[in-house]
Amino acid sequence: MNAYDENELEPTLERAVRVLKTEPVPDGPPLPVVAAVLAAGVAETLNKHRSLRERITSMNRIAKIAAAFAAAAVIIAATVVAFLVLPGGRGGTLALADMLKPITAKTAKFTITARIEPLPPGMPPEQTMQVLVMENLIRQELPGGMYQVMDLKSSRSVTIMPQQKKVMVMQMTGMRQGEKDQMSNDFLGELRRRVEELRGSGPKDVEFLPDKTLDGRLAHGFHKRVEGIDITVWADTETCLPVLMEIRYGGGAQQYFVTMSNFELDVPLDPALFSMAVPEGYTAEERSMNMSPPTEADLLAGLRQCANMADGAFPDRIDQNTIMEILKKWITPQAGNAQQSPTQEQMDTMMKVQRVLLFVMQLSGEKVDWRYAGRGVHLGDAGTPVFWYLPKGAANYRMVCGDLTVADVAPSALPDIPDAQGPDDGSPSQPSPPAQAPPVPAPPAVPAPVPPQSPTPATPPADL
Amino acid sequence: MAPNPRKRLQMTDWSSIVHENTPLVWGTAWRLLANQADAADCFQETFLAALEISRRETVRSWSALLVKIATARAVDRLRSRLRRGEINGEAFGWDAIPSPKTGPVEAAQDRELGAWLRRVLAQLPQPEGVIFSLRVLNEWSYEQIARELAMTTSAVGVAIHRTRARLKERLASRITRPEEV
Repeated sequence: MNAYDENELEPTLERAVRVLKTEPVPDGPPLPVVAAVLAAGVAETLNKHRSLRERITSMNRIAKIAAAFAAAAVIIAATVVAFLVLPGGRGGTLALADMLKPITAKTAKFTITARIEPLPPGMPPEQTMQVLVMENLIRQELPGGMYQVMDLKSSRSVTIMPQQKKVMVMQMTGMRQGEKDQMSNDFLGELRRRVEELRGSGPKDVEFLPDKTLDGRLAHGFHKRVEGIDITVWADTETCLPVLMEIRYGGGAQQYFVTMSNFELDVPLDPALFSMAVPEGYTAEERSMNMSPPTEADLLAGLRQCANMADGAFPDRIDQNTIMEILKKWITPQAGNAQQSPTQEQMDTMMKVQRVLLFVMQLSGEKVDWRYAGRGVHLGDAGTPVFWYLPKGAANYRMVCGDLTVADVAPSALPDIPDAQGPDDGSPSQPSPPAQAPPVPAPPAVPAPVPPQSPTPATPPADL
Repeated sequence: MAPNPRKRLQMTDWSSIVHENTPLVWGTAWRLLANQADAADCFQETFLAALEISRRETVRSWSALLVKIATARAVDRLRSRLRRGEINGEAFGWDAIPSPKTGPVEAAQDRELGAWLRRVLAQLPQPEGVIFSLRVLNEWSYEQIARELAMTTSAVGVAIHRTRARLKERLASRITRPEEV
């Protein structure tokens, strides 16, 4: 101890200790570090702690901070605030991908519920169906014991109506391979696409919702708005698989809500449930439905049909509700028996009208400029513009007049009709919502046609 | 302790744990390391290590666990820096800390003393450095240290006594031979 007395050293030692204890601590740690720590907790919650930790700790400091910033968007927003937007980056995607697993199930069972707000007169507040999926086969169980089995590969469906002991066999024709693929992705495929879309999104594109408990399971919520469609997926924090998908869309006054829930993925399903054979004692009726891509000719034919159904007047608008109203008015007087299936002729007529809507939806999906000004115009009104659109790559517009003649018109010569309906005016830019079907006779339970390259929320059958 | 899978950490729990203990862990790391980058790394390692522990066993006290880990990690870092010859002057970021002292001489002395204590803590055999830090910097009781480090109270007392003696020896050496530690 040299020449120093321990009594002299003790105060110095205490002073050294006091220095460390009382030294001001700067603010910290840096936010990215806290974010990385929080993100590790997310991964832990999701049973992926080790891999995420390894990824974070093995990064250099800059990468760590960058990743942590993005990852922080997930955890902070999910647990602390309802909405947080941070600059994009791989880290956010990484964390989101960790929280939401892709759907790889070959079989599935789930519930689809649809409703419209405000509720149109005569519509039930909510419509629900159970869906079973086995590879390319889909079984939809509708209220009242009716069910439909679809083989998406062959574009064929059978609708079994036990009360009437009838089977409606529907063959969809004219579909191109790409459209078949898209059909094949319907329902479960829709969920797959939406999940993939979310997983591939940067943090600034996704709103992370506060956790909530669904059916006793804690779930993370992810919301994204895609071309006017609000998509929210809730994923189980344990399995990282969706427990609920909510879709909201619609233009104009009405909003459509579709939810997919009660998921059972890779559930054993009896192949007999997907049998397309006509049950013994049932009578079968064959129908076909034209599902080819709608063209200008379909627009003209459909507009003519609409006018013919409404004393020569063109529809006020081209949207789902208007088209449905026209069909309702047309079909109601013919409905001698509510349980009767539509004849092929009736179906063709209805489809002709629907294809007007499909054509316009297709234009919107392709970001093609179009306008509809049919309100107050009657079939035969020559020289009165009804519809015009600019085909892709074209210099001039195609203009349809009241007499259904078509002419090429330079953009500078387009009519100026302020209240003309356009793609940004509550147009049917999305696929058909789960709206009411014509009341009677019951239409075939086929999925609403989906135009190529348009956003495609789950499209319950027309019965839904 | 046996794992308790039914008591898995929930994200909201973790968020609370992090937020509640951030000042404590950051302060613990900073006091020993006095360097932004090192303290940040220590902070992160501490929480990640604690998270890993929570997978294996039930955590009775997150604060205690975190302080214990933070102290051990910080001392480890001090030792690493000492080995690399980085414990001196700027490496500790003195300029970043405003001194609470008014007198420049006293402030300089305090800085010197603080740096000296950190160097010495890095040179102490383990776990003495950690035990001493928990006792004097975090004011843990002997019992708490013993419980958290799975030691007997008397062993903790012996370690602290021995550490004080070593520190005083080093202090005496420093005063007589300032070129040494």
